[in-house]
Formats: sequence, C-alpha cells, structure tokens
Amino acid sequence: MTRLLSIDIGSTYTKGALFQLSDGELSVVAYAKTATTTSHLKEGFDQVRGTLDPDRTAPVAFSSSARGGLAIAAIGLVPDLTLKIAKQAALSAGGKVVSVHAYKLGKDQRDELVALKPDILLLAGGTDGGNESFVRFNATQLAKLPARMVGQELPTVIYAGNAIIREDVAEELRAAGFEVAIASNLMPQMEQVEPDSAREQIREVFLRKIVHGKGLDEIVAEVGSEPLPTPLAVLNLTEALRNDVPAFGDFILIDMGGATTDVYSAGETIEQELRVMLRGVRDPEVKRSVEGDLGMRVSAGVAAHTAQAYLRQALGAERHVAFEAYMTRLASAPEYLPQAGNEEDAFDRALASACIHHAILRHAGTWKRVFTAAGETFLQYGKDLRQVRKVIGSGGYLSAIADFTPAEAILPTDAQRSEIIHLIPERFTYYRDNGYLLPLLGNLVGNWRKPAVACAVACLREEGETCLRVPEITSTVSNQSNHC
Amino acid sequence: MDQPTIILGVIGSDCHAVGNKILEKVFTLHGFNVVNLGVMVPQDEFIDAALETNAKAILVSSLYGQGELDCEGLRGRCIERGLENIVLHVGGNLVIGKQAFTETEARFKEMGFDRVYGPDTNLEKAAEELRQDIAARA
Repeated sequence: MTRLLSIDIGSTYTKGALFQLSDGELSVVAYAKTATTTSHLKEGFDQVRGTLDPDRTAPVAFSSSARGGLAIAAIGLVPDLTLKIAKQAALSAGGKVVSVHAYKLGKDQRDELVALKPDILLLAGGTDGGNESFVRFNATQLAKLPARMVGQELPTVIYAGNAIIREDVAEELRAAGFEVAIASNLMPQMEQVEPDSAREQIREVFLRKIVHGKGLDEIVAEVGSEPLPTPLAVLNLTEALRNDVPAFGDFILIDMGGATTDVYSAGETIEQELRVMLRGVRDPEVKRSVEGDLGMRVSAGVAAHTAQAYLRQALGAERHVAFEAYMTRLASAPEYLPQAGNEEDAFDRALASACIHHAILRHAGTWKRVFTAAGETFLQYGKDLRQVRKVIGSGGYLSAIADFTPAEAILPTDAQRSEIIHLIPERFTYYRDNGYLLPLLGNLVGNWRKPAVACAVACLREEGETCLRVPEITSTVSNQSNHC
Repeated sequence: MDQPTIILGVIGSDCHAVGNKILEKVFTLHGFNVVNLGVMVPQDEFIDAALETNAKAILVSSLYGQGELDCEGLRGRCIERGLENIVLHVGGNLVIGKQAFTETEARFKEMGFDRVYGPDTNLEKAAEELRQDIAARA
C-alpha cells in the first residue's frame, strides 16, 4: 500500500488530497484546503501537507496555477493560420494568452508588449520554406524591445515559425538580449498543425520562471519534483482519459473558476456529412479553450457585461437590476458565498449558466449556411460536438452545487441560432466532479497514469441525462433527429 | 527555390472537384509545389495560404458561371494584404452564356489576372506559361 499526496496551489485556495494506492487502485483518504499565501506559497502548501501527511513521508505531486499561468503574447502571420495555431498551442500548454498579433508588428503593438510584460513571446509565421519577410520583420521589431524594458525581466522568446530562418532569428534576438528557445514550426506545411514542440518549450520556460521566487523553489527542493501548470495537469488527465478509456467516449469538461472558464473537449473534429465543407485549420482532438472574461468571482463583473443580453433574458429586466447590484457587491468581496436558496444564490446560478453558455458556444464549432448552384451547403468551422454524450463539471462552483445542470445553459438563444448553427451536444449525461479532485488527479497522471484515470472516472457523480431540444437542422443535411 | 509554391483552388460557392484534382496532378508533375485548397474557397483563403507559404502564384478555377462575381477585387485584396507581386491565373467556365472568349479574357485581365484560360486549355502550355510568368516577376 502506497500513500500519494497531490496539491494544487490555485490563485485563491491551496487544495490537497491524500490518496491511497492499493492493488493498483486509488482512493481518497483525506482532503484539505487553505487560503493561498500569495507572498510565500510554501506556507499554504506546508499547511495543507501538514494536515494531510504530518510525517511528510508520502511522495508529492503538485501544480501551480501561478497567476493564472504564464502570460504569453502570441505572434503569427495570418490570423486564421499560424496565429490561431500559436494561440491554441499557448492555451494547451497551460498559458494565459495576453495578446495576439498578426502580420507585422508596429509601434503600437510594441508599446502594448512593453505594457503587458508577457513572460513568453511565442513567435510563429510562415510554413517551412515559406514566408520569411514578415517573420524577419517581426523579429527585428522585437529586437527593439529590450531598450524599452530596462529594469524589468525580459520575456523569453519561443520561436516556432519558418524553420529555414530560425538560426537567423534566434541570433538577432539573442544579440538584442533575449533568451531564445527554438521549437519546431507550428505549421510546417499548409494546414498541418504541430503544436507539441512549442508546448514542451513553454512548459520548460514555466518551470524556469515560475519556480523561482515566491517559495516554489523551496517546495521543489523539499519534495524533489517540479510543479505542473494547473491547466496542463487537467489537460493531461483529459488526454489520458481520452486515450486509455475509449469506452468513455467523447466528452466535454467544463472547469469554471473565479477568474476563467476553461473548456476541454475530447473528440474528433470531423463528423463528415454530405454537403458539409470543413474550413480552416482543424481543431485538435483534445482542445482547450480559456475564457478570461467569464468567471464566478474575480471576473464576475466582466462576465456580467459579456453575458448581459443572456442574463437579462434569463432574469427579466427587473431582477437584472438587482443582479447588477449584486455584481457590484461581489467586486469588493470576491470571496463571498451566498446562503443556499436566497436571491443571491439564484444570481450565482444565473451567472454560472451565463458563463457556461458563452464558453461552450465559443468552444464548439459552427455551420454557416450557404446556397450554391448545387443547393444548400454548410461551411464548418471548428469542432462538431453534436455526438458528445458526456459533460463533466468541475471547479469551485460546479463541484459544490449538486442540483445545478448546464443543460439549458448550452443551448443557443433564438437570436444566436438565426445567424449560425452551433455544433453543441444534442443530448448528454452530466457528471459532477463533486470532490473537486480532477486537477489533483491530473498531477498524478505522469507517474500513476492508470490508477489516476480510473479514479477520475470513479469520482464523477452522474447527475442525470438531458435531451436538448435542438431544432433539427434541415432534412437535407441531418438525418439524425432527437429521439428522446 | 526551383520548386515554386503555387496555390490552387476553386473559388466561391463552386463545388466542382474533378478538374481541381487534375490540375493538382499536372502542376505537381511539372515541378510545382502545389498547395491545393480544394473547392469552395473564398478569396481570403487563397491569400492566407499564399502569405504563409510564400507562394509565387495563385491559380483560381471557376466552373459554375459566376467566376466574374467571385474574382472581382482579388487583385486589389492581394495588394492590400501584402502580395504585390503575386502571379494570378484564372481558368474554367468563367461566364454563362455565349460570349467570345477574347471578350471574357479582356474582362478578367482588366480585373488584374495575368492569364485567362478557357475550358479547352492545354495544360502543358499553361504550366509553361506559369513558369515564365513567375520568372518574369522574380
């Protein structure tokens, strides 16, 4: 019998669980959490560790959300091609994308980069042997930055563009004072997407930059292992679940926190049908999206603004006014939790629905209807999630609230539906991570993959099946209607 | 590079796929690095692909008679987005109805295309002309 300790240092709470591994099966022995000690992370970490494992003998795996992840500025050439892939690579590595830049960097963009102080500049553009001029131009523009950033830490440049010129670009930027890491081209050929090498470089920079200071290096020295970025831990778990338990099928995982709403989907992009043309770069089989304007506490005010139309419709004009007042109160007290059953509890519920609504609709692919000489045709952008049959809820709010279901929330409104067809699940079973264990199990995937995945499946609580009344798309295209 | 990259696709809402495959094969055999975007390709996707791959030419096909509408403004858009020197060729059933080819050709040349090909084009010749046009721009 082995005991394993997993700890996640979040932006608000440091959480941990002690697991017991016997006969290849993991079970939870105890759970603890404390407020994150932002100035010295080790204090909160030690408190959780001391509570769960006073002898300090269990091996430790840990993650850190580290200010919501490394701040990454993504620079590409064409918005729908290398820039889109760069953004996706940064997100899937657990980063926080602070700005995106297409084509040529001008003075305004340089000013923006100086102000945003990203940790990483992910520089992409051009296929291998393809465009050089834009990429060289941007490297030269970036080389002007250090003179403006005296006294602050320079971002690390990860170059993931046209391989032919990578030595030239690295040389120029190193001469300007940057630390430069080289990754394989994100798009070596048209529409061939290879984000893994850039992701690995981002992870290495994360370890170098995040571990220093704030006490993380002391934790590393003591426990003998390095932290994962929290979102990467969740993504690793998602990928492992996808690969190791094929019977689980396609699924969506919503991890809704105070600051962001993250959506993970596991499933193929293509549900090829007659008269559907796939457009643009294909989404990866396991995709992560992060919505920084949708969250339950730190981002509640912004979310209320983003989702204004949705909330006003859901609450009615009169209650919406009271809701806005509640948002103002939350802004000054983000740790506030309402009493179950009162009006504010209902407002939290509406806010959660609104965040899920927008996060899912942004994540899911769409069909645009076009009429051609050959009749009605659909252009598909992004992932078709109609066949997904499982939706998992995790994060502080979704883990805690047993009778919340995202079912109605993911339906597009009539106004949204009139413009475009959203490829959301038609019916699904909702599962709740009621112990809020998924990020902690993500930490264990590296060394104890099989038991961690099995435990993740076992810890999901089935909350019921939903059939959404998604209107049938058209008889000419879809022969699947909702039989339930 | 001795294998110039070219972008190939059928423009607009046109889903004729057969000729597109033949063109891909022939131009590849003639030593071009062909990026084939397939059917129903909007103007901007031709330009996106050409930008990223540093393509020397865009070959636009249109077979359903609405080529003129679909191709209008392509040259300007190329220039606007940083492809000042790209070679533009167009071919297929470009217009509906009976019209002298010379008239069609003149109209598409006015729109900024370097070469205009009708339905009975000799592809060997087209490949040779493409090579010449690319060399002239270099």
